[in-house]
Amino acid sequence: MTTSTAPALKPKRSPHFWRNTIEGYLFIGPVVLGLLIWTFGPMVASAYYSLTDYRIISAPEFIGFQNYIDLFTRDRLFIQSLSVTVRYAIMVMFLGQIVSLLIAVLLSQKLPGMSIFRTFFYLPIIVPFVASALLWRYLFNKDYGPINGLLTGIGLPEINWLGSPHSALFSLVIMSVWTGAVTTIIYVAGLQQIPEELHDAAKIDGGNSVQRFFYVTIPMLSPTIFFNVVTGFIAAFQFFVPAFLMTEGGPANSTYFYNLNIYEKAFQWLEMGYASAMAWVIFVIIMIITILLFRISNRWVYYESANES
Amino acid sequence: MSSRKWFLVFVVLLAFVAVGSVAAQEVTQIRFGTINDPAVERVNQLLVENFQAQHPGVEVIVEYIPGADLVSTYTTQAAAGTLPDVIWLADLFVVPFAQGDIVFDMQPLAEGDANFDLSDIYDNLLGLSRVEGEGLYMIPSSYDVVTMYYNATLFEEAGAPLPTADWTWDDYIAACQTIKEATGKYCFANGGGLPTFEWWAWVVPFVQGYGGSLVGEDGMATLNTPETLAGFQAYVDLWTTHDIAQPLDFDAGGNCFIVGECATMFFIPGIMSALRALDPQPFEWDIQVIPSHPEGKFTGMGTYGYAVSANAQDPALAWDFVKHLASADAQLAIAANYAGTPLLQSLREDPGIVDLAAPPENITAFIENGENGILPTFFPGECGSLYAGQINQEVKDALETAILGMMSVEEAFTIANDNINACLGG
Repeated sequence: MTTSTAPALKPKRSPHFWRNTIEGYLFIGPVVLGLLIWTFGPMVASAYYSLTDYRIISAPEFIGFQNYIDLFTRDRLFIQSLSVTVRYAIMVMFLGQIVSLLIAVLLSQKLPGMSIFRTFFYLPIIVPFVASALLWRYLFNKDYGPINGLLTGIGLPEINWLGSPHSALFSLVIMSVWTGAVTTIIYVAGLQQIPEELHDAAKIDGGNSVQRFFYVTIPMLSPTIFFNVVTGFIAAFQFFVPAFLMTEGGPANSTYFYNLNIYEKAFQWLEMGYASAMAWVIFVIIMIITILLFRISNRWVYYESANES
Repeated sequence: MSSRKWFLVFVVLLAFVAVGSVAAQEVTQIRFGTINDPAVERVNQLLVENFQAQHPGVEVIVEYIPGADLVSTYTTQAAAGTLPDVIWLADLFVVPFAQGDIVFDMQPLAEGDANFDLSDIYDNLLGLSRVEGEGLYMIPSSYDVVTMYYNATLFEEAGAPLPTADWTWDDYIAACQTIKEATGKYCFANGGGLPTFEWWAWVVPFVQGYGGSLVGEDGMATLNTPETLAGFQAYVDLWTTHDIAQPLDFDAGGNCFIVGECATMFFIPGIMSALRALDPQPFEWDIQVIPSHPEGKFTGMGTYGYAVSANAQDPALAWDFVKHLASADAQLAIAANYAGTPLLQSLREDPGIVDLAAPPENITAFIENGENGILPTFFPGECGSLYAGQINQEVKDALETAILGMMSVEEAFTIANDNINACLGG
């Protein structure tokens, strides 16, 4: 048996199609151009500079992978700053996500005046970084800070929050959790998307509030949690301003974050090639973590739409 | 020649004269890059006003640069060839700026200027403007030698003797311990508006005061020789053994000396104006020369100044702008504003200085202390300096770990020495 198939006819493009296409490209053109010039351009340049000895004043001198070799073999502060950043990222992820989620649950309660509370919790994000850094430096002050005043008031010993290498990093974690308002707001939005009937069904089946939280709320919120974890990790690895303003990396390099290290190498030591190599290393680390998070997300992130299809 | 031809020649000549006169009257410009700092602004004004009086046809364009962006701005401008003609800079930038061709060597200009006497400037101060004793890359603003300020009220209240010119550091420590016991206040102010503990102008004098040095004749670091370690130890002891230095985590709410929480401050003359501006004066204060170490008196220096940039369109014109800083008029004006001490030896006994109203009563101590001023140690190679880069980082980390009691001085500086030499050795 032979079958013959008629050649597929190419749909004829209407004059509007081309006009719309051109208009579309014209509209996105400035953004695409901006991205190419201001984002991808510097990225390509920094990739090249990372292979050079470049100190701005003189022309870059190609040295191959020497900057990367030096990073891993000769620079003790590279490992130190990476270790500080990773420890910070882990702490701020766990503490930040849990606190933000709990606050979001509280803010999702149907009580009068809740919108006012939500506004209060959003306030930290509109406070300028410098102002909040100064505020927290005052709060954490060993001698006259209100936090230590509170601790001694209830009979607990004072803590040298920012002055001790043992507590300075954790102090910055506490401050970062306070500024996690965006995470909280995203969780609030996620919680509001969970269908009420799922909770009702769980109630009818005898589920108490804790069971409903773990068996209904968390699975339904898992895409939101995943989003917050991914963006939170990336933000944690880019942590810079509070450390720069509050501790300058001290004491004893205990808050010497990776980005602070990059900043000093680039703008104080003027080793632009070396700093570019550092930037690419952290880029690769963030990319690997993001890919890993996406890989393991299949196991715990529940997408209702994917289930339906 | 016909009358028409004569007329043409006349017109051509007239045109030449007209063009020439226009060219002569053409307003040229001089660009002046500086930081936006009230402490510097008065000196900036002095220079601009003097230059405009001398060159009324030249416009001065002042370009303010945020202090934190100074290095990146200058280096970027240097790479692009767009540096201002004259730039403000501080002593810490002299070596890197000279090596990076950001500043012009003004030595030939100074030597070729009959109205400028370089030999009148204190020689040790000029060391801050040179690279290994060569060239002239900055005209300093003042004879800025680190001198002891003391809170006389606090000393008297505690029953401690007031500092004298023949004090040793042991005398200083004993008086400070008396103050600490009587008032609970510290002595050696650092951080909080002052330089932090690793400032070379405090540390290196201790090293030299115990007969040590940071670099050997072979150009390698010598941070762990017995003499050098003794100097570091004596410095660290101010925190650890004697407990008289402002702790690194003690936030006094500003400059510890100015807010009255520290009894002494070792700093340059320029801070006088800030102290005098306190109204009413919160305490009585005066100054005294640096106490003596076992090997004699040593103290650091640190100043800002001005330079002709490597991109100056007319270096001679830019030099005219800069050189006024080292004139008697400018130096007396700076001193009258309590913004510095004259850097000219010829003004040492000038009534414009010695008769200045107190405080400080003992203002000549700044000049007497000048002979104790030393220069920052120069490290060869590309491992940084005592101001920035790896060498600064290693010394800072070693001092901090020793002050915090995380390591002994010997352990900390042996590690620092090895790390620096690993870099210096290539």
